[in-house]
Amino acid sequence: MCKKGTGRKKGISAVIGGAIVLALFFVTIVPLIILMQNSYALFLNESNSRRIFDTDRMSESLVVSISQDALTKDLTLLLSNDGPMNIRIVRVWAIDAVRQAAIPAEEPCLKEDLPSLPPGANGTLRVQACVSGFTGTVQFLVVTERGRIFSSDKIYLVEGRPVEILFPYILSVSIINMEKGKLYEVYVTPIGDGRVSPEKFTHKATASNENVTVAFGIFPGTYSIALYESNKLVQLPEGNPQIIEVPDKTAVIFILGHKPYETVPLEPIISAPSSVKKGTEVVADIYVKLPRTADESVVITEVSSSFLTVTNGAIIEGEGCEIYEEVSLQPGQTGLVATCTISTDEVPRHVKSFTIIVNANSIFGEGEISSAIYTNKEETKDVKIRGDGPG
Amino acid sequence: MRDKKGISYVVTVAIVTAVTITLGLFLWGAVGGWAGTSAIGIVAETNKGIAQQRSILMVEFIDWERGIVWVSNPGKVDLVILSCAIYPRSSPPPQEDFREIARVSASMNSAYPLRIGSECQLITGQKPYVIDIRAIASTIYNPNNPLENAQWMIMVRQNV
Repeated sequence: MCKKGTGRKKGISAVIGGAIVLALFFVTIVPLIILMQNSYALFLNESNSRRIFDTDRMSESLVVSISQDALTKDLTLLLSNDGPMNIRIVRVWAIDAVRQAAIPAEEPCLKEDLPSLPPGANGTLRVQACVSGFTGTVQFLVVTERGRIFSSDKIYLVEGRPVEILFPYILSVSIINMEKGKLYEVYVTPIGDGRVSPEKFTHKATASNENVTVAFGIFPGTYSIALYESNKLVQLPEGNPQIIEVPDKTAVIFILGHKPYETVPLEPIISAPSSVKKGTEVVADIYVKLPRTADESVVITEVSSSFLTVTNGAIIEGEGCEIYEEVSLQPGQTGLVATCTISTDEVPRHVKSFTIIVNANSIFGEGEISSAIYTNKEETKDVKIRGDGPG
Repeated sequence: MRDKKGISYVVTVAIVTAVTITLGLFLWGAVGGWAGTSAIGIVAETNKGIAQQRSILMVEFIDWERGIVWVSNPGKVDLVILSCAIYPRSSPPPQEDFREIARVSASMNSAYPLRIGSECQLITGQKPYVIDIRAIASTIYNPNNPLENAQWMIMVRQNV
């Protein structure tokens, strides 16, 4: 009886304890897990939402260009939505691009009744009121609802109207004797109210002693013309930068180095056999070599008809040699200028040789940069005649 | 004798049951307290993370002549700007004092001005400059302790 009673006692405690543990599990732990999952899902949802927003934002694409109304000549913005997203415009700023200040007041120029552009749609905004009476360079910034900013090109206005960009004068700037491989920059800077386009010119010299002339559209006024060589202001006797008054002066020449071109004699080379049998024909190729010390390339422009002489009864066959003109030679390069056929039939029996002579100053070339005339020096070659020929 | 024995049995059962229930209630209380605290913590942390995800701030334009930085909020939650500094890109960021500078509503209908000098610190030096703005969602901002949720702030840094 006693044992039976004790067993029943244990059973009651176990049932109560079990019930409490189960109740604890379902009332606290399970809701907590559900709450955690729910919180994570909420965060994930928000994170996805932000990612979608960022993607949409980056997909916005709007072309903003400045135009004029055909009738009223009022300034208008042409808007073209060339992206896949609908774009709602919330604000338009007009900026003085030089002073970096909002015009006409310290607030956006347009902020009400702005259009919403579906993908592919175009729209216009009248912005004349923003720039009325303004003189200077203006730029428009268009702000979208998703927080993107699209800017127009900069435009120069006089009294709120665009000016026709017609320059009354041309300024020419020449750079003479540039050094190969160096970067040259010309800056034309207005001093005061002048205007010039472009304001900078850049050129990299690809050959020694290269020359270049560039033209700038320019308005009357005072200008500073500066020449930089590889980012360093070039020191010149005539001064750099040069200050000029347009239209009194419309040409500036920067002469660098003053290095004179010196011509070198062309070196003929006679390619012919050293000995031939009597009565046979000798083919002689006449080459010209431009010495490696030459300052420039040379084009062979003329070969005199009497450039070649043969001695001891040998004669040049036919109507003379075959001449190859317009041969271009780089310093150190050799080129074929003529091919001659020489007959030995008339050489007397007792004569054992004859000489081929390229006469001096009979081959002419022209320097490609300096246009200087280059001529050749004399060259000779002896050809022996063997007696066992066919004659 | 028999009666005494019966009393003892009933008392024993009552005591054991009472102890079990007491221990159970104690355990229930402890676990319930822990679960409640954890739930509050989880909800608070989730809210902060969500508030940060919803925070977006942009600099629209700096009016150098008038000394105004125009900012706007394309996000989903109002923002409190805690610091703003403009400094040369070649220099390290300046030491910033976090305080409530301005509130920016979550709406693109208007842009908000920050005055350079009083609201936005300007460190002069060699151009180009960088602007550095820190803001926090107003839902997790504590005015008595601006840096309480500093790790959930957003930072906007761009060349100007």
